[in-house]
Amino acid sequence: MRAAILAVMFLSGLGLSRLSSAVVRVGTHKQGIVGGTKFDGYEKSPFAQLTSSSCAAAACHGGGHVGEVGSEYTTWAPDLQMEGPFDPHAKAYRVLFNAHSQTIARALNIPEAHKESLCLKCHAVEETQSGHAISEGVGCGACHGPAEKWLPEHTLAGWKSRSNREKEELGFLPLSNLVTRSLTCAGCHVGDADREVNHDLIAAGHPRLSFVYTSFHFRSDYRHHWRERTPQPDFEVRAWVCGQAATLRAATELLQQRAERAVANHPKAVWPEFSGYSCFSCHQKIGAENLQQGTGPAKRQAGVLGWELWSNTAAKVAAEVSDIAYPGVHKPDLHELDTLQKLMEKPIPIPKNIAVQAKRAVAELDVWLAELHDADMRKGEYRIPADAPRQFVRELTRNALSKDRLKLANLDWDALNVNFLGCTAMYHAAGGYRTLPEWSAPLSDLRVTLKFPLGFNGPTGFGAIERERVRKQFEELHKLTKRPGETP
Amino acid sequence: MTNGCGMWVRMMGFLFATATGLVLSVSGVKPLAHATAVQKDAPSVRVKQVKDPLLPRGVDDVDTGFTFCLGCHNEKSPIDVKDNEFASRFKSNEFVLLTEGRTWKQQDPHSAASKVLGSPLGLQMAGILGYDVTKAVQCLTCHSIDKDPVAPVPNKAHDILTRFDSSEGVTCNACHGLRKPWQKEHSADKVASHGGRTIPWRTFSPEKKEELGMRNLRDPVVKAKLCASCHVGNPAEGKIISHEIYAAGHPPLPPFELATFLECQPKHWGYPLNPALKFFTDTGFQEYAGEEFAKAHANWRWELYRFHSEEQEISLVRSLAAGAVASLLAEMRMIALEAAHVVKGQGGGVDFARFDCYACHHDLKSPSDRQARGYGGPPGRPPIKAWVAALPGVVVDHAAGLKNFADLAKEFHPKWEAVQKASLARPFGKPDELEKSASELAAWCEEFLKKLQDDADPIYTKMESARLLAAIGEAATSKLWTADPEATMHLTWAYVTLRRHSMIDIPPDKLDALKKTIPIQVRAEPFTTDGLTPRIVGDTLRQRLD
Repeated sequence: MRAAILAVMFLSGLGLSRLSSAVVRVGTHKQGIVGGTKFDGYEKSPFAQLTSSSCAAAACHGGGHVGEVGSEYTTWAPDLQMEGPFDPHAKAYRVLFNAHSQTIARALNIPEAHKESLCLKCHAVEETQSGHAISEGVGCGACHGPAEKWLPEHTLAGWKSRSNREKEELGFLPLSNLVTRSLTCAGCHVGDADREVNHDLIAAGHPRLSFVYTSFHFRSDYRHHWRERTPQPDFEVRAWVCGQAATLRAATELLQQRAERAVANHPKAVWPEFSGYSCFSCHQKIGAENLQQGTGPAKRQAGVLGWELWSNTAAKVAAEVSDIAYPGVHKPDLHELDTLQKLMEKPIPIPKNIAVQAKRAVAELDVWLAELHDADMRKGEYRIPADAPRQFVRELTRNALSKDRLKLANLDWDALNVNFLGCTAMYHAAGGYRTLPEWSAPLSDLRVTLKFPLGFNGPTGFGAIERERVRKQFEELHKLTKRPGETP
Repeated sequence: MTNGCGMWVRMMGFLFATATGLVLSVSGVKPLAHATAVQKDAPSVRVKQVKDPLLPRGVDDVDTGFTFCLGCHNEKSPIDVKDNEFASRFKSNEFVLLTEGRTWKQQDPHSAASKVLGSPLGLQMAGILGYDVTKAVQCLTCHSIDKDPVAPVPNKAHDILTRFDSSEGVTCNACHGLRKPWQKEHSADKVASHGGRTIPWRTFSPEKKEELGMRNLRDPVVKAKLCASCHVGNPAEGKIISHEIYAAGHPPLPPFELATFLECQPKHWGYPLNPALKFFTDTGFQEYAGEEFAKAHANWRWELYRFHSEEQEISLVRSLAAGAVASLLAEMRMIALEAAHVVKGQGGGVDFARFDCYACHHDLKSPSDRQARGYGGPPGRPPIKAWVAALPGVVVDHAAGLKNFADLAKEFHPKWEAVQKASLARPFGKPDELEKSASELAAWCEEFLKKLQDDADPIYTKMESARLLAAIGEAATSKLWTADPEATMHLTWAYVTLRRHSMIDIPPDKLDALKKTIPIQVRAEPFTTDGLTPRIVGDTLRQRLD
């Protein structure tokens, strides 16, 4: 069914990026099987999507009391509770009608965004059998899995006692597993074989993707329709680690797809694909005082773009501290990823080499994710050490600074920001101001300094003075997170 | 020396076999026999490799010393011939200004070209690039006279009269010709051989002067190609500015508009417009060359000096046209060669520096002007520098109305569009298409320049110049180019310069308003600092471009 849709789309020749992603889809579905362990969030289910209203019965998930168990649909659906926070997923479809979407569509030669598969893939549940259900936006099935098979089953008494494996076989995605969950999110928020926000789309006006699971989860206006069972700090610390790993995996796989497309010399192949680089590698002012020379180990050749600084800057820290978040998990070996980064950080990388190397890097990341996935299945069995957030911030600030801490390791805004967002996740995980009042000032200052000026989508005016301010605050946090008795 | 070579390899990122060959021959001391090997190893590209015919033929054929020139060309002001025996005999003060050296040394930024390599910015660049920019051949090739494949770099020690001295910057001979023979010949007293009247140099044909090694910079096309070789680029001489060099801090090369750059220079040359240079009047020439010679060479102004009287043609306009097309040629050659390199499977790609800087280097705004404006091709693909085609486009459209140029002019726009299309077919262009289209456009430029060079009749009469001026003004304000700051600046420069040259004043309030958005000239007087050292353009221009 899905293949048939693809074939039709491919032949119909509408929309540039969609075409290129369509090519990727053919025959490249991932087998998320590593070392005999299958973990989900990769594979497309063969089952049909049902409408979200199928879930909305008052006795099921439409209970009518926002925020309560049994009212998941009510909480998600924006029309049922107009005031206050909302679930942005429910509005994903209707934004396709606004003026900004029309500007984007015009630049891309798309007649109507709300009918365009390129857009609907993420802004709705495109495969919903009943066409009008597309208007529901990112409904239940988009994340929980197509309900054709599991809908009747999950209402039965035996559902809860079934294993995740059995549920997955029916098309249900057990999102309580943080790896499954963050991989599912990354499918849209980073991209996958089917879906991508490439630079054509961004230049047309689509916001860039900059996914950090913990930041998205705790968005102040995000009305959750579920309750986390894992207590803090465990939840946020682990969610940050899994989110980093899943984001990097999605970005690397996307790179592999793009490279393979370029190797196949597909007429619509885009290479190099700018959206895989830090935006502000290029979108920066010209002039000697604005140079972005890193001082870290991955110092780039002058004038070369930083590859996926958003996805890989803090992910390497997450790799280092995996065994704190999940005792027993090995620190992953990411040398293939390092090689990939070196290959990518050349004036114009060679797609043939990248395709091969990215595949290796994905396999390497899968080993890590598989371990995290299994460990997360057993997360109720143990707690993380209470000072894990401190250790994480210690590592993140070390990552942000040069060895002597007199410089920033990487001047790029993306790199600075993901380090910062990691630190804020840890701050909140640990209890925020009540437990760590002394972290508050440096974090607030980082937030203010890294913020885009009003009316801009980039750190306009972010220069030497701002960088020094950022460096100072990272240094301050680094000092604050020194273990008692530890020499600096 | 192998070091120098390795440095080069690292710096360029994408090397052209020719450029490599050039450096190899630099390092290998072997004289010009190498030049042919260079050609053989070159990628099979359609773009023409241009070897400078004026390169010295061997170590003994080189003379670069600035001091040698100062012997005659270092007067403070126009001289009193009574004090100067040589000048009084040969009336050299009526032929040249004799102040050239002093002007160059005190006011001309070319004389500071290698000094800037040791400036704080130069040091910063060296730190980032990982090599000494004051010694690296890829820097000295433009910042000094180090384009010569004959002598290995370290041998260019300071020898006041004859040897290379990179620290002198872009010296007299860097432009006028590095070879010895002309330098001897042009001042040689050969009274006896020339009917007892004077040295014969001034009546030599441009071809003969070139044979002796002097570049005929009076020829607008020769001049335009030479200037563009540094101010835009010339891969055959290793003059390529790469994005790596920019990213290390090199100021952006501003759009190169020859007429404006000429007008913003402290002139060490005597435009034939200068009434003090009586040689260039009919009577002056006749007196010098003899009645018979003058009679036999009725069109002597063009034949020997490649200009027409201002009544017949405004010389600066021919320079403007030549400069516009020569810049485009230089850029297309670089693109074609870099693309050819990729096509041959040697990796890399067309350097970012060939693309419009501001296509990427801009603030991300919301709402966005670019998104509101829409895109020519797919959104988000950097186009190649558009300024290179802006002024040529106007020059060509104007030339379409001229009999000799009409056919050639028709071919321009399709060729330029092909280059643009290839550059947008994917990010940083499709190498095969870019190579083909850029080579074709380069060939077209060559043809146009040849016509411009060979056309002995006045082209840019007062009337035609006025028409061209109006067309440039229209283009500068047209929607086509207003979205491209460099193209607009390029056209504006051309427009303002021509108007000033034609003494058509621009109302001061209009000019002030213009200045607020676009720098209207490359540099303005005073040309020197208090210490009588040339003012460096880079800093101020960078501010303007920021």
